[in-house]
Amino acid sequence: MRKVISVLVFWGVLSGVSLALAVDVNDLIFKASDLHYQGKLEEAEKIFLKVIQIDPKNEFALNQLGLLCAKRKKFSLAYKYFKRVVEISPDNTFARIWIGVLLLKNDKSRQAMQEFESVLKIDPYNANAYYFIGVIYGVEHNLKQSIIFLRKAQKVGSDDPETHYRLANAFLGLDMVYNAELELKRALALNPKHIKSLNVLGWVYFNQGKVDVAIAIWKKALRINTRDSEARHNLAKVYNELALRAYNRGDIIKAVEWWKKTLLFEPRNKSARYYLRKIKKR
Amino acid sequence: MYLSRRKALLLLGSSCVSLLSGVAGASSGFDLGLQGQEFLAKGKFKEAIKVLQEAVKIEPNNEWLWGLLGRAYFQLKDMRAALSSFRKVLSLNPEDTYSRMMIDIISQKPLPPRREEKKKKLTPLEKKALEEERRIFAKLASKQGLGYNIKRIVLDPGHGGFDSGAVGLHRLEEKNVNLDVAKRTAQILNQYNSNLKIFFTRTEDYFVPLSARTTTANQYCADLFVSFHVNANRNRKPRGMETYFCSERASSKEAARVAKFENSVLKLEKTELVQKGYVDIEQILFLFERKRYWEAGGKVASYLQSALKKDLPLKNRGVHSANFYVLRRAKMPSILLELGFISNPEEERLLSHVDFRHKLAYSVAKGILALQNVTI
Ligand SMILES: [Zn+2]
Repeated sequence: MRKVISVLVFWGVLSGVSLALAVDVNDLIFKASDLHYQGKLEEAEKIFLKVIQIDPKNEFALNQLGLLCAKRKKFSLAYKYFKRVVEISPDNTFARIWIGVLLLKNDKSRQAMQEFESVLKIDPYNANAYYFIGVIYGVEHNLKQSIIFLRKAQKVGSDDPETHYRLANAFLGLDMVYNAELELKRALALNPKHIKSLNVLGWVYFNQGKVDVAIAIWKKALRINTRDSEARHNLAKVYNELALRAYNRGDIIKAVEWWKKTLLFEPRNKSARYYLRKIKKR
Repeated sequence: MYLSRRKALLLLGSSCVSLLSGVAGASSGFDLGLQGQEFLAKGKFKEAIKVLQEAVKIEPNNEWLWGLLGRAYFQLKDMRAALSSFRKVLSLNPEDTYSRMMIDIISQKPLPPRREEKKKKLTPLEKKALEEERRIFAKLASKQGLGYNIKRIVLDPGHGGFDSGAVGLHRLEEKNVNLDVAKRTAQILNQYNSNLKIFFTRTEDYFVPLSARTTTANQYCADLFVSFHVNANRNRKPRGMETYFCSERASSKEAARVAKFENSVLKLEKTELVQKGYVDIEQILFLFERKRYWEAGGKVASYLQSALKKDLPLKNRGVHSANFYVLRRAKMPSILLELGFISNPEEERLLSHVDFRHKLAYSVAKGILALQNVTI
């Protein structure tokens, strides 16, 4: 069994080392990967470093070293490892994607965009490259382009809540509420605890006048995470507005009830505190 | 070693299962697995795949069989199939190092396209979404390349209701100036560019908490947030206008003072927690996004301040940055205008005139409209 594994890894991972060393390297790679997956990052790093001493052009080891550095917040070293991989093997899209992400981390969106575009030239089915380009366009509030790229990411296989969530936001910015609702529901189908999606879905309903539905959704978000500030702010805002409207039409009982609810979600809400004090004085 | 020992145990385990299940069928998953393994060792990969495919049909939850199948596909360079076999192993046993490693190895390089799935029947919401997309999306122009886009603007008249903001010597209240200038700005914006969508955080004289103001901006997915204020100082002398944008640190002591006053009693959120031993890509993207908005906010602030300085008879106090609560939570570039000092008697007099307020609004609107022609 062991032999089979060694031979198989040999095909995929090693570049130019003798067969005798190959077996050792494969053992090392397996050991290092195992440590990496167990979260023993420093130990894994040491062994991968041994691998590249024996086989300096080992792409997999170099990529893993880059990843390990990124996980340990040594981002500039990580960048160097990924750059090295691309020098050795220009079609290593994994390294290129990471270079793009690290460029974004340094706010170099133009260069990052070029990196992701180069990935798509090598691999027109790379979901990550489409996703990150979609994200960059989204941040530029170029919503149509963002939607086009996020959709492409989905088409080639990136079916995750974040992609749906970002699509939903882009749709909302274009007042395409049905598409926004659909994407948020898809995000929530994949992860029912995706709070960001619940928060936005609340507004989709609220802006259509479905206040109760919106409130129920934000409360659901708080059941998942009681400290979610977004959901709290949303609920506080809506309850405060309801209270103010009731107060202005003379319905003090309702107003008090809603301001008390406002304080449940934002204990320092200035509006609710002021009016409740004022009503109490009377 | 760890792997071989674990696999050996697994082999034993599955042989017990197979002995039980093998009584009925002609050949059990285990027997087929052994055959597959032998083919693999001899380099007969196609044959291996054939028997292993049979084997996983009999025992779809046997990770050993899926692992062998993954290896056979890998040898034949059918990377998509190898990947899904190894993923199957991981779904059955998330701690299988070998399969996880193979997935990482395969994922470094391009993969052939996925086979398209058959189209399912559309739900009513999907139908509505499709119709909406045909109607709205087709009409939108495509614009490639970077550069920030502004179509939806939230105008935020500062203070309101019981919070009058700063008050002048002659009792002019900041909240009323803010609301009036913001409303006039909206009117002028709509007049000159009907494609812009304008939203307000308040339209009348009522109090709106700071948190609700940013929430409004996020509620409408706005592209720009403009907060209207008038400055004040205990000293009657300071005068002029300045524009603020959000940054981690205040650009000066004075900027910090203004932010402190506008932030009022609110405490800022704590900095985001960073998890150890794990790269959170979405967190990297979140920080990238926020910095981009702040950077764009800085550019917008500069454009607006230079537009105002050309048009208005107010002293130019420049552009500053500080950590404003109301600007920080917004998911878009946001700026805060301080249009003169209400504490300065001369500027209070100016601010109390409708003509002057219209002039202010006109300059702000002109500045915002000019943003359409520059790259932010
Ligand atoms: Zn103010």
